[in-house]
Amino acid sequence: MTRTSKLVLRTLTAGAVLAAAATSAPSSTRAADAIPQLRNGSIGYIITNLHWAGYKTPDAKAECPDGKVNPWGPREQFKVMYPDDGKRTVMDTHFAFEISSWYPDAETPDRFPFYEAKGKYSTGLNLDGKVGPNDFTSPDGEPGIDNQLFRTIGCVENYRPPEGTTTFYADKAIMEERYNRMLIELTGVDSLENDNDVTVTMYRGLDELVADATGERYVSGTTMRVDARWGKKFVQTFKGKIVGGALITEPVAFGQIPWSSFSLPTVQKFHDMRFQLRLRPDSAVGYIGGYVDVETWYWQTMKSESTHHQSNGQTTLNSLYKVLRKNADAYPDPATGRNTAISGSLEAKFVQAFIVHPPTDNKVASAQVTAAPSQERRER
Amino acid sequence: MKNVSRRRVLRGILNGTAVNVALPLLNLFLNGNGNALANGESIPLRFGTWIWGLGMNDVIFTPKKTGANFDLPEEIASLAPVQKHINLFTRFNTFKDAAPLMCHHTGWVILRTGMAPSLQQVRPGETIDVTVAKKIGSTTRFPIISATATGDVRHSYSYESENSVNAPEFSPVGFYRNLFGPDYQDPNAAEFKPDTNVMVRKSVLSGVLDETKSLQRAAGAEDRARLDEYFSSLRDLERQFDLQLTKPEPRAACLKVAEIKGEPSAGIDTTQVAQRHKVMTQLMAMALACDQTRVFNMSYAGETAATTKAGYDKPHHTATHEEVTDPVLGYQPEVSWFTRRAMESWAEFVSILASVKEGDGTLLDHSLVYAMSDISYAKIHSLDNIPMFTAGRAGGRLKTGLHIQGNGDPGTRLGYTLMKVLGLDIPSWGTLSNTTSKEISEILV
Repeated sequence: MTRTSKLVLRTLTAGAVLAAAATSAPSSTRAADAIPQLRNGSIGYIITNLHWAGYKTPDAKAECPDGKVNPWGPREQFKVMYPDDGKRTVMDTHFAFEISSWYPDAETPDRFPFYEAKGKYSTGLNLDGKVGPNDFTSPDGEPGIDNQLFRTIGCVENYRPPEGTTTFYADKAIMEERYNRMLIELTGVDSLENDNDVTVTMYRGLDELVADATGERYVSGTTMRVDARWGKKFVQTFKGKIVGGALITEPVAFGQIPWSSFSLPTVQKFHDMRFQLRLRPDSAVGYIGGYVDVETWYWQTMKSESTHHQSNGQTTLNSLYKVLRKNADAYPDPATGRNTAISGSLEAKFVQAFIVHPPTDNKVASAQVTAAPSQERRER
Repeated sequence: MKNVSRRRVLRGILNGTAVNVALPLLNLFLNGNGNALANGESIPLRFGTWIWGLGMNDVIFTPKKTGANFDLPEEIASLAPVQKHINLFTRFNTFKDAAPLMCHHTGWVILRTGMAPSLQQVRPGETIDVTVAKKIGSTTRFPIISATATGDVRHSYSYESENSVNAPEFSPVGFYRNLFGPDYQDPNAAEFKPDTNVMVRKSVLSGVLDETKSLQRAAGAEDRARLDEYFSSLRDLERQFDLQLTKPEPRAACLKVAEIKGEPSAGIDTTQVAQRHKVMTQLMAMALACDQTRVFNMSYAGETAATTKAGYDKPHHTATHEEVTDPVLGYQPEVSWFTRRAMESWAEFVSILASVKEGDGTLLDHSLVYAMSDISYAKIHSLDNIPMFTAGRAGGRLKTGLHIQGNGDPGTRLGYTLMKVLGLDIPSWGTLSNTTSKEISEILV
């Protein structure tokens, strides 16, 4: 087992993964021929939950300065910026405030304080295999977690469940909407316990999730059709291996996943995108990580969430943009030298599904696998 | 002189039209106890619903004590004057099962239909008031009356079916005209003269019905189903005309209602909503006392209430999601301000019904009101612990003044209990996890 694999496995025992790992089937049952979901060396999964990874405690004291979360939401900032003097127009005030979010400015210092996550811990992945000064430690002691996105949003109420509603709406979108139906299919699998060479292909699916009677969990074993027509751009392949029940893929240079929020179809784009998942015959839990494209992330939030929804948890995008750009830690713009991507991971939960390809689809025919870029290119 | 029917009238003919002249309501029409008419017919039971949007703050809403003489935390302190008339139900849950959570929609639909909606666009099926009206609402001029204090006709929580909503009256002036306008027959009027306009309408309707029946014979199965639905609505209309052409029973509790001439100011400031609510509740109470209906619905505010507070920039619904929870208080103070206003209006609603003397008690004593919100903790759209109330003793069939905790049982238990109390012969109510056949026995006499 390589050092990276060991690190991954330790990381995968953190947080949500812990529960899955604790109930994993014994190794003896992992042989391919004992797992009916594994057919002809292939097993599929469908996404059920997807949230930005981070370490959050109920009182925020472990991760936010003095336990404080950001109090300066859009409403609060507006009140200070535009006190009612009875003279100004809606154009001068409300419109001006709204429009400024569409032309964010990373250069001008913010007049409002912004609390970043300062704690030691975060969930996520060690993307560069190193332990740096800005890295976090996973809750179970794994150092080197690269998650500057958590540093940025970790003390923003919206991203702190249960009060923060982003998690709620993200889950709701996955259940109710279609555009964001992400499937992964593992092929060339001899064992869900250990296999040195597997291929992971991502697709966009066409079918609805099937919930159990509680509505809180999803049923495995359903049939999910691949969207081979409009979902082509999401067909991406990753080479990987399974070590001790954990899937670890190599990063691809660039990946994107279908995303939907408040019925607005969009994408999330990652440099060096990779999967690290704890596999079970009926589910998979872990992380999708990489360096998140800052502009895509910002505009997805901007376009999907109204000022009201941003105000649900004091997210002022003007302020957030400045911190996003400040904390961006990879992929410098060749012209300006400023980083364009920020390290981050999504906590992902899947249930097993039988993936059905259309007759004309040769599975990965349209996929374009790109080798990971050099370490030098990733960092600045 | 016993067993004199309250239907006793002086009959005659005027200008070729049958005329019945009523006797005034005499004591001999009532039995010795004053709780039933002399012919043994009980003072009618009424059933109503009341709804407010956006739930409550559990820490200052839910009493610590259960049973009688429960404490009134600050968010429901305004209920003190009516505490003896109401029951409060907490810790009951609603279950969406495999359906998605439809924010602000799922909760009230379950509590009023027993079923979780599958989509936001899917309207409820038959709501509880409609089910009850089929049992007790067929002998009055209106099977159901509904009103909303928001001034917004979309705030209806009464559905005949997925395709048929009972639109509420949103204007106090319109509500007055519908109830007590030109078509109103005062049950205590000395004379009864059938309305010739109604007679003409009935005549036209009879012709239409005959024509439609002949059409039905020629129609295919699908069209016949459509015509059946159409027939039902025509028969309702016919029944209404019949009632308007029959001398109504005298009603001691029925008083002359002053005409509402001016519309309260438009808007959804809480003071305006409260004013509209009060006026419409007074009209509703007298409509019940005058036996214009026996089933009623009042909406104080919609499930995403946009009611406003002077000097505060966020409407109620917006505040539930945006206001920061006060770390010291442990709740959202402005949101609680709105909830307190709703509870004040709920107390006023109960007080108005209790102020109408009827027989040996009050109109409220002969009524059963079922109140609920759409959600529990609005910020996160929680379906657990949606607060519910009842008011009234249902003619002595129900205890009041109690706080009942459900320990996670289906909230549909309350609706089921109320329907059983009202005499509906139903073995169970609800679907999937909301199915229940278990009454809340603590409130039964």
